[in-house]
Amino acid sequence: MRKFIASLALMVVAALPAAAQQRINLDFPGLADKAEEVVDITLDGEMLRMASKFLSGKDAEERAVRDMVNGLHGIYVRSYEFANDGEYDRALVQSVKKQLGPTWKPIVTVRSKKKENVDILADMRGDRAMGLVVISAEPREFTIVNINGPIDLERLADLEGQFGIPEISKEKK
Amino acid sequence: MTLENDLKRTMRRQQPDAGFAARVLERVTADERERAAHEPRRRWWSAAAASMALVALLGGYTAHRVQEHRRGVEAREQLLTAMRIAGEKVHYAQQEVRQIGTSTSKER
Amino acid sequence: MTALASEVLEFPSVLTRAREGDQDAFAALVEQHESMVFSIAWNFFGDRARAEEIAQEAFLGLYRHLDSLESESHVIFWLRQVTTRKCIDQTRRNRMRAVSLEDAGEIKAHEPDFDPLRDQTLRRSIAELPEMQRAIVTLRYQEDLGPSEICEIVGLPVNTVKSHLHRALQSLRRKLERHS
Repeated sequence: MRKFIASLALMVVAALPAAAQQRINLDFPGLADKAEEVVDITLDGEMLRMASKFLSGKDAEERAVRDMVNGLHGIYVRSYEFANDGEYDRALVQSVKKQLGPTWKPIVTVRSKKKENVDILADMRGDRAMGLVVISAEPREFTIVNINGPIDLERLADLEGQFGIPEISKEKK
Repeated sequence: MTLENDLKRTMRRQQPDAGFAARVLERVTADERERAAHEPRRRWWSAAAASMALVALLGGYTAHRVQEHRRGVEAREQLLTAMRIAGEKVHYAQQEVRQIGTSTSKER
Repeated sequence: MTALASEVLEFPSVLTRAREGDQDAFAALVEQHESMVFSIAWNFFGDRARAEEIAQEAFLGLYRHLDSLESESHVIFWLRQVTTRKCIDQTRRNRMRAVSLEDAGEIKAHEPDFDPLRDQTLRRSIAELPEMQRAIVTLRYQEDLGPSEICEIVGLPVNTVKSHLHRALQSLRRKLERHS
C-alpha cells in the first residue's frame, strides 16, 4: 500500500535578476564506482549560455527549454542507477538537505514504499523561487537535480509533456 | 531481458523496395549531369571558398570555430538531458499530488 | 591464389573500382549496404517512402565521398553516421513522430512468441522518443552496436549515449506497461 505525504504550493514566478546562489556540493565519493549507469551534468553560467545558443528556436521543446534557462546561473545533475536494491545509503538524501539554508522550503514531498521518494525544495525569496533542488530516491536509482537561478516549477513539470511523452491530462481540482 | 529481445526483433533490418540500387544509380547520373552543367560557376565559387578557407586557417579561426561548435552541441545535449530528468521528476511528484487530491475528494 | 585470398581481396577491389568510376561496382556497394541504410531510416520514421528518400541521399553522398573512404569498415561507419544524422536533422526540422500503422511493417504471425499488438505499441513508442534517443536505440538494437561505437557515430560522449539509452529504455518500458 502506498503511503503519501504531500503538500504543494502553486507558484507563478516572474524571472528577476538575482545574485548567484551558492552551489550545493554534489560530490558523493565512491558512488559512481558502485553504479551501473551514471549521469553527471555540470552546466555553469557560461556553458548554459553556450548550450542555449545551440537550441533551436523553431522547435517547441527547445524553445521551452531556452525560455526556462534564460537567467539561470547553473544546472547540475547527478543520477546513479544501481544493479540491485539498496546499493546506496539513503542517508545521502539528508546530507544534501543539510546543505540548504533557512530560505530553502520544501515544496513537495512524496513518499512511496514501492516507487520513488521525491523531495522538491525551493530557495524562496519572497514569493519567488531562486533555486531548486529535486532529490529522487528509488530502490535502484538516486538522482539529484540542482537548478541555480529563478525557476518556474509549473513550466518545468510541463516539459515532461513536450519531450515526446504523451501528456497526462491535467484535471482541475 | 524481454524488452531488449523485443527491440531486437522489432528493429530487424528490412529490405528497401526492389530496384533500389538502380534508383540510386539514376539519381547519381542525374546529379553528375547537373554538376557538370554548373561546373564553371562552381569553380569560381570553389576558388573563392578555398581562398577564404586558407585565410581563415592561417588565422586559426576555423579550428577554433569547429571546436566551439562541438562544445556547443555537447552542451546542448547535456542541457536537454538535464531538463528532461528534472521535468520527469517534478512531473511525477505533481501527478502523485493530483492523485491524492482526486482520491481525497472521492472519499468525501 | 586460394579461394580465401580471393574472397579477402573481393571487397577492396569493389571499392577501388567504384572509386575509379565503375558504376557496376558502385551498384554492388549499394546492394551490399542498402538493407542497413534503409532500415536505420525505416526504424526511425516508420515510413518506407521517407526511408527510401534518406537512403538514396546517403548513397548519393557516398558516391561523392568515395575518394575519402579507405576500407569496407570505413564505408559502413560512414553510411551509419550519415544516415543517422540525416534522420535526426529531418526530425528536428519537421518534428514528425507519428508512425503510420499502415506502414508499420509486416506482421509475422508465424513466429510462436510474437505478439503483434506489443510490436505495434513498441513501434509507436519508439517513434515518440526524442530524436537522439531514437537514433541511439536504433543503432543499439538494429545494428547491435555498443555505446562506444554509437558515440563515434552520433558525436556525443559515451556517458551521454549511455544516459540516453537508459532513459529511452525506461520510457519504452513504462509505455509498454501502460498498454499491457
